[in-house]
Amino acid sequence: MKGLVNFVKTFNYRDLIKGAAVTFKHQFKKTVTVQYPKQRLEPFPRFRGRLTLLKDENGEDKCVCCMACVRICPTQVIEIKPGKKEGRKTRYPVEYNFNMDRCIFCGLCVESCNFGAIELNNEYELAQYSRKDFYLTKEKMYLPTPKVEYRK
Amino acid sequence: MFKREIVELNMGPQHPSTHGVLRLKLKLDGETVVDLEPEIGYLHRGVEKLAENFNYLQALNLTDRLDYIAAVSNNLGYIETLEKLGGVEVPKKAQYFRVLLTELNRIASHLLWLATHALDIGAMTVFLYAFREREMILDMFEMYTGGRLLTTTFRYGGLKEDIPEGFDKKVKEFIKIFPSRMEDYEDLLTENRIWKKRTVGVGVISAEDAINLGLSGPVLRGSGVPYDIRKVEPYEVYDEFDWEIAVENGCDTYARYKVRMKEMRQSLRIVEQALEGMPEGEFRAKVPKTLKLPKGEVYHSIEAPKGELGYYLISDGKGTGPYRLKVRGPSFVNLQGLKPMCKGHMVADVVAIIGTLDVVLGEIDR
Repeated sequence: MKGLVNFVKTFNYRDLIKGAAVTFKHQFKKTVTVQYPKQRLEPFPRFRGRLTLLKDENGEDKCVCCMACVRICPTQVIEIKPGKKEGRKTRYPVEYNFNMDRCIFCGLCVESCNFGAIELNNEYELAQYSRKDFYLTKEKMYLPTPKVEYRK
Repeated sequence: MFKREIVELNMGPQHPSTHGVLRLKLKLDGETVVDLEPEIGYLHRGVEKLAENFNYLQALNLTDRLDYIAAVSNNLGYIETLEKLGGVEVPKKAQYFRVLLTELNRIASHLLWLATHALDIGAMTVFLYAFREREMILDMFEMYTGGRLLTTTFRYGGLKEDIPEGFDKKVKEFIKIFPSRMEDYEDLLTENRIWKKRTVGVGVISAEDAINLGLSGPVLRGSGVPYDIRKVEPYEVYDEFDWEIAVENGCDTYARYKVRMKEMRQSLRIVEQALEGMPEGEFRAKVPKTLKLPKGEVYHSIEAPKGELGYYLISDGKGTGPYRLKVRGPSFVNLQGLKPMCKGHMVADVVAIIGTLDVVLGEIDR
């Protein structure tokens, strides 16, 4: 009797058919996979990408070297050398160095800035071949990250 | 003719099913586990010590990196600890939104658990389906905070930013889709004979043992103990919602699977109610820009997806950062249950039991 019950149980494929039905149903659904290098997703506006310096409408630096970002940064990746310039009341950054390889993209620097002088942009392809390419000086901070040609 | 001896075997830290860098020293008699010793510390970063050199806001970043699957819960526990010491009143809107995000994070965490647990045992299909739904939640996190895993979500006294436009639409879409997707997972697993053979009766731990070892979360509830901090000691606005504690009496891996599945449904209920009842108003209380807390000590614990997550904070009243921060991580304590659960089982079952405990090494090693 017990053997018969087991025999029936073994050939009662209800559970497996139920599972197979789910996978079969999915054949006709739209694929959700993104074919990455050919197809790219656009990040949301609040996405925390690479740090960038911003200029105002006259092409002047918005940064006034209050050093709030330098102080709040948990990994100490920002270095500012302040300076004075004729025709400008506030100080301006002579040098603004950003060491991206240690940046944790937490966004505390942007949050601490009272002048809206910095921003985390929406770049997410930040890989480089050399470590020195992560070290961004002031000039490079305005520009988007140069596109890396992948090589063998 | 044949000599019978106990063989010592190292499992991990690079084993694909140990979920990170967990190393187990197994003592085997044939293929049966006689004794077992977890070796931890491969991912130690000294989070608690680092927090002493940071200010309160910077230390929030460290909590992201404890249990990186459920960063929002970690943030919530830490921020609530600060608020308990500082005695600040959080606006209602912020509280509702906090609950909403944390519950979404619980679903995301359980989905990742389901995916990897099923993958370890051998059901690959669930892995892909669960990640598809998890992606929707991560998208919401990205929309609100800007980060997908390391969210750094909340701030002292409320939220970081206001809720973006279109966020509620995304949540509503998720609420609509998710129940049918849950059914898909259950169709694939719950009655599946291979799944049942691998989980029923594996990793049994009695309620008494579970309490004695200090286990918490779904592992404890799988042994029939209805203990959930959200009900026992409600924080935020959990007492305003209508939901039930997920409990199962099986004490085994299958029971814990069912607990987590139930819990995802309950979380979805809370998300739905939180979204409907979200009041208008301020999203952050008026707090000074540099945070200084009075002298004192405080312990606060919340129900993280993995169990009881507690923070013990000491402030000396002078500095702008914690004097000492101790984290009571759920995974760390739940790992204690591995040895009694594994004894007498096969090596292949060890994989299933690690999966059912749902440990995250980032938080065990800290």
